[in-house]
Amino acid sequence: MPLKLTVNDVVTTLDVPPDMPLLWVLRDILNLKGAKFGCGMGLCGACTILVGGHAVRSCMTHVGSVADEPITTIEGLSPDGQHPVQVAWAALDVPQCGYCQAGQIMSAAALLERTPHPTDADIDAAMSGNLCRCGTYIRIRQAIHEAAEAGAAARPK
Amino acid sequence: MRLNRRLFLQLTTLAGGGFALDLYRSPLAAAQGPGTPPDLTPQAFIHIAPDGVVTIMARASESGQGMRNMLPMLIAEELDVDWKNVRVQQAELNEKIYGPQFSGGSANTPMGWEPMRRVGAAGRQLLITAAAQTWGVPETECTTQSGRVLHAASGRLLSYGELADKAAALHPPALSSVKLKDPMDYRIIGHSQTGVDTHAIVTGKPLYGIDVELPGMLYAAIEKAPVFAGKVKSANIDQVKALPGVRQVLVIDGGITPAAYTPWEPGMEPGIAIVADTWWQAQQARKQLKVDWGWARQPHKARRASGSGQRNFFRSRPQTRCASMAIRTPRSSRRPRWLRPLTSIRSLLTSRLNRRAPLRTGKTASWRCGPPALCPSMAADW
Repeated sequence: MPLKLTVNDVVTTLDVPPDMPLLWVLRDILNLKGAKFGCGMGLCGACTILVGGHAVRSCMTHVGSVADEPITTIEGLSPDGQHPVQVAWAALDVPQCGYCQAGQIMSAAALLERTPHPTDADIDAAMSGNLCRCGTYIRIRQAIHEAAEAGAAARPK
Repeated sequence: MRLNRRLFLQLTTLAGGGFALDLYRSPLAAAQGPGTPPDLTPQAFIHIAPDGVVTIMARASESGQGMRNMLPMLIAEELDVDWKNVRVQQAELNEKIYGPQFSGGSANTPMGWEPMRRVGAAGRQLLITAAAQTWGVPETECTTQSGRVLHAASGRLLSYGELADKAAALHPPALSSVKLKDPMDYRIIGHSQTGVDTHAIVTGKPLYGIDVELPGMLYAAIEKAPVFAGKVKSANIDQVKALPGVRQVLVIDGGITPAAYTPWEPGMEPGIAIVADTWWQAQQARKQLKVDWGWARQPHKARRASGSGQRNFFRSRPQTRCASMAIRTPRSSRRPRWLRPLTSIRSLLTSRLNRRAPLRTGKTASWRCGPPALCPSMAADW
C-alpha cells in the first residue's frame, strides 16, 4: 500500500514495505544522504532526524509509523545552512571526520526547541545518545551554548 | 644495540599485534625505503584559474585528522598564496603522480611535511620563471606576495592567474633544488584554518564513500565465515536469489587479493555475497541466508604450509594466512592437550574485521568503469 510521507515540507507518495527503516527510505529512495548509517541499532545516533520536532533514530524507525508526521532531515533544517545550530557548528569548526555530525546537529536542534537555554547537564543528557569517534564533545557543548545565545538574540522580545 | 626508529616500531608492534606492524611499516617504508622515487610535479597538485583561484589537490584520504586541510596548507604556504583563495580537491588514487596516499598511523604529516612544501615552492618557482621570461628580467630580481609575482626594480606585477598557462607549460625544477621559506615567515602553517569540509558537513552534503551513487550501482552484503579458515559448503542460494531486489548471490572462496595498493591485506575471506538493488534489500536477504559451513583447510596442514614463525606468516600468500593458526606445545608433556601450557605462537591471523568501522569512515570514494573491481579506498579506510 502506498505511503504518504512529508519530508522537509515536501509530500511524497512511496510504495515501500511499511517495516522498512526510515533511514533507508531517506537515503536510498529519496536520495537524502545527510542522515548516516552507523550501527543500525539505535546505539550511535548518526541517523538522527526529527519526526514531529522530536529527535528519533531513523535506522530503528519503521517508515510505516511516521506517515502522519512531518519529517525533517539535516538537508531541511534550514534552506541555506543558517540554522543557529549550523552557524555555531561552523563558527566553532566542530566537525572532524564529520560522519556523526548530522545526527549531532539534529539532536541539538531538537534540544534547543524544547530547552532554549540548556545547562551543561541538559546538554549531556540530551546528547548522550550521539557518539563521536573523533571526540568532538567539548566543541559540541560549546556550540550548543553559542546557538542558544544566538537563538535568544534572534527571537522577538 | 642501537634502537633506531624503524626497528623500534617493529619491535613494539610485534608485541602488540601484527595489524599495527603493517599499519606502521608500510608508510614508513614508503617514506624511507630504498630507491629514490621520481619527483612529484607541481602541475599535478596545483591548478590556478585566470581569476586567481588556486585549486590544490589533497593526496590523502580524510578521516577526521585534517588531512584535507594540512597537506594543501603545506603547498599553499610555499606557493605563497592566500588561503582564502584556495579550494581543495581530492586527488584521484595514483601514487605514481601523487606519492604515498595512505592515511593512517599519524604518518601523513611527517610523510608530507617536506615533499608538499617542496611541491609548493616548485610551483612558485615556475610562476617566477614565467614572469621573468615575460618581462625579460633575471629571475633573481623577482619576488612573490599573496598570489602575485613582483619586479620591484620596474614596479611591475603579474598575478598568478595571468601567469598560470605559461607556468604550466614549463619544465618543473628538481624538488631538491627549490628554496624553502624561513619558518618565521609562515602565514598559513601554524595558523588554525577552518576545515575545508565544514560547511558541507553541517549542511548534510554527500561527502562519504557510503553516499556515492553511480548509474546502475548495486549493493552487496557479505556474510563471512564465522571462524577463521571457514568455508562455504552449501547454502540456500536459489531461495535467497528469489527475494525482493536481489540480483545475484555469489560464493566467495576466499583469498582474493585486494588492489595492489594494500598488498599486506589478507584479501577477501570466504563467505557469501548478496548483490541487490539497495543496501536494505541486500541486508534483508542476508537474514534469510542459511549456510552450511566447512573448513577451508585443516589446521595441522595449514601449519606446515605456512612454515614457521611470524616472518613466514607475513610473507605467505593470503590464502595461507587465513588458515594458519597453530599453537605449538611441548612434545614431552603427558597432560591432555587442552591442559598443556601455551609456549609459543607459531603464526598469527589477520582479519578484515574492523572494530572501528561504524563511526569512522573515509571521505574518499574511488571507482572504476569496466569489470567489477575491489574499490581501493575501501582498503585504505582504517
